[in-house]
Amino acid sequence: MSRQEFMERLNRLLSDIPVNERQEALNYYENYFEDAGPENEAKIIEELESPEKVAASIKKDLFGENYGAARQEDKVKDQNAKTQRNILIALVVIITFPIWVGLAGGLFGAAVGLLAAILGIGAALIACVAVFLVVGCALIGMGIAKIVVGFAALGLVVTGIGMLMFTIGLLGVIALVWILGKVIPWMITAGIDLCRRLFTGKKGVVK
Amino acid sequence: MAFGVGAALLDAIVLAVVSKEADGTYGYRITQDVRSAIEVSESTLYPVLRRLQKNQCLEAYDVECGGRNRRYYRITHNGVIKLNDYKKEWMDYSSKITHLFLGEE
Repeated sequence: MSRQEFMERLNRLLSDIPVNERQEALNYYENYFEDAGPENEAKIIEELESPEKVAASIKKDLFGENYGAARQEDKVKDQNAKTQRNILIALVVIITFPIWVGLAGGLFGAAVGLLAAILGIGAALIACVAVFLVVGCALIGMGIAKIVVGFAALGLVVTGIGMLMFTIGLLGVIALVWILGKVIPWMITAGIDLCRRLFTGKKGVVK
Repeated sequence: MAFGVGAALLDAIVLAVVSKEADGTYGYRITQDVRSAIEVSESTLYPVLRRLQKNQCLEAYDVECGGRNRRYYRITHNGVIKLNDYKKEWMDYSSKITHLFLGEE
């Protein structure tokens, strides 16, 4: 091993001690090699034995005799605690399996049902509006025809009813456009937000 | 050597070696001087110097030498007091053992 390799390894081995302590120690051994001169380099490396031994002697002084052993023990304890917690979580999930599967299924069913109902109501509304418009148009046409043929009074009444229906149909179109443009997007974002809250437990923002 | 060197004795020896140099001395030389008296591995002395420095028995300072900084150590007032305590204890301890070995009264 060369002096450079020795110092690099010592640096790595001392990476877990305070920076100023590491700097002091590295500085000392750099000085030591310099003062001994290149001709004694090999001899010193041999007498120091290994960077591991030098690092151990520094840490022993900083942290006491059982430094290495205590840290090892802590790590093992940490790992055991983690494993125990994971096993506990897995057990809870398995035991409550029927409950949360039922719950999830129920929620899913309810969501699908709600969606179907909304779609159905929407379709019915659109159909109604279309009927009003078409029938209104037809009645206006029929009324005008009656007036032309000579039944002025009946023709006027029929035309009036037709116009009324057509107007209601137009109001329906306006209402539908408003629902499609405003209410449905809001419901979609609210639905997404609800799902996010259910699955992640985080609070989302409804626009 | 058959006899082990404890932490206190090692501290005392290092203090004695450093106190001999009025202008201070540096790591490599301290190691050589200590090793002329007792057998210690080269990695033992850095922690001793660091400990004595923290206990304010030694002070460290840098001197420029051939384009680099060399760390010097010199004994403090505190260190001198500590060294005198160690010397007294050593005299007491070693004379008792010497007496015992030589069978003197």
